[in-house]
Amino acid sequence: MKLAKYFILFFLVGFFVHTTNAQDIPKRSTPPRLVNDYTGTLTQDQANAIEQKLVAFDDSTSTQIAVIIVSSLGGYDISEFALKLGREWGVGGKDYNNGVVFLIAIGDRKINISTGYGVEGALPDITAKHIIDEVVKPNFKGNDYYRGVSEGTDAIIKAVKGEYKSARKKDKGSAGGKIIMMVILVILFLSFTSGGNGGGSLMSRGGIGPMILMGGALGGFGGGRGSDSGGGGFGGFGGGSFGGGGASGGW
Amino acid sequence: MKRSTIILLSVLGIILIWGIITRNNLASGETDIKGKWGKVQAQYNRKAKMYENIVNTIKGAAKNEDTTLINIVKMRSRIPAINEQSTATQLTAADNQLNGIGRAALNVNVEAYPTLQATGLFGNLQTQVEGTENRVTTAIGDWNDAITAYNNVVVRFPGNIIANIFGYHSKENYTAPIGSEDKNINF
Repeated sequence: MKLAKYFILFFLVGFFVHTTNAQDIPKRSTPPRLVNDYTGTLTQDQANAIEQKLVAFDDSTSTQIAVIIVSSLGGYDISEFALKLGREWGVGGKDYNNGVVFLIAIGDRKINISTGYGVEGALPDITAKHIIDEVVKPNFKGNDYYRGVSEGTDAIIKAVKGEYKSARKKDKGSAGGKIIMMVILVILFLSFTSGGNGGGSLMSRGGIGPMILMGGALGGFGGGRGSDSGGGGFGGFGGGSFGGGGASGGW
Repeated sequence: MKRSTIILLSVLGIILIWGIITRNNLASGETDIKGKWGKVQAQYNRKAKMYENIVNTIKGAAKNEDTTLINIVKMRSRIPAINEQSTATQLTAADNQLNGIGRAALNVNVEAYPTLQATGLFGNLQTQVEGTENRVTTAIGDWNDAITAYNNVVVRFPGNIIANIFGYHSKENYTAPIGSEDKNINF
């Protein structure tokens, strides 16, 4: 009987454990910010100034422009790197996919502007290329990174402005079914462990079984989160997706 | 009820629920693959149209009977269409064909077409080609990932039991066309 229990536990855990492979791209910061400088190229004040501008734009249009400055791309193609970043962080709203990733790799001297599915019309590849070549590049060549980023984001804002006006929507709870399923499973598990042979099985000792089970079931959702933290700051990324649109350049 | 009966029923219940979930996962996996194939189709057609436009623009600006030009116009008529029923092999063949046209079109002698040079068309071409390639690659990648996720359920134990019962079979993955890494643009 005891053996059978272990077998069942093993079986169920096997079903629900997910394997996730780590990626080389940076994790989004907590609390989330729109300006992410991993190199210290911008001073705190400069980063804050751009952040404020972008947060205001996000608040009024729900369009999210994320600025990411890294030192190296770690062998990735810059457009691939930006695509992964945009998707993993979920830049832009889930319903409109209205996110823009403005990625700068200082060490590799490369720039990329990637557009979410919903921004491709307002900010076509050619426009993105023009912003890189005519606005950002000249400033970067003169080592004025702040001006390059600031004017670059201004140009992106100008292009995207008027495309989306609605405020950010809260995500609908599509996870309801999974939660019910989870509760049923946990109850079933507890019915195994309660009472009976007092020796204490693996499950009754630490409740490991249900915990692993919950972890596995929870792995299914997450990702899109549009919580409002209230009070001026950035409310978080919305779960937007990207399809490879945008342009790259170097200086 | 005896304790062992409760346990037995619980286990049967869990297996039943798991079976239903797996069956539904397979079904939505198939839908997902179909949807992503639709995106590949859309992006491929976008790419085909773009190259067609490029060929037309060059043709319009051509004064002399360039042999390269005649060749790419001929090639253009042979671009196969991609639809819901197309296989990965057909996509590979079509993409190869398209890349050939792209290379040939972009390799035409720019000096022979002063109008094109003046309008800055060639300057914008690289950006367009890049964006188009990225979109096609992304769409194909997403589609491929969906197939892999689906195949993993179909092939691996214990999901394969359910897959067999309901007749779900693993699907063909996409393989990159030979020479696809050769995307140089020379002006």
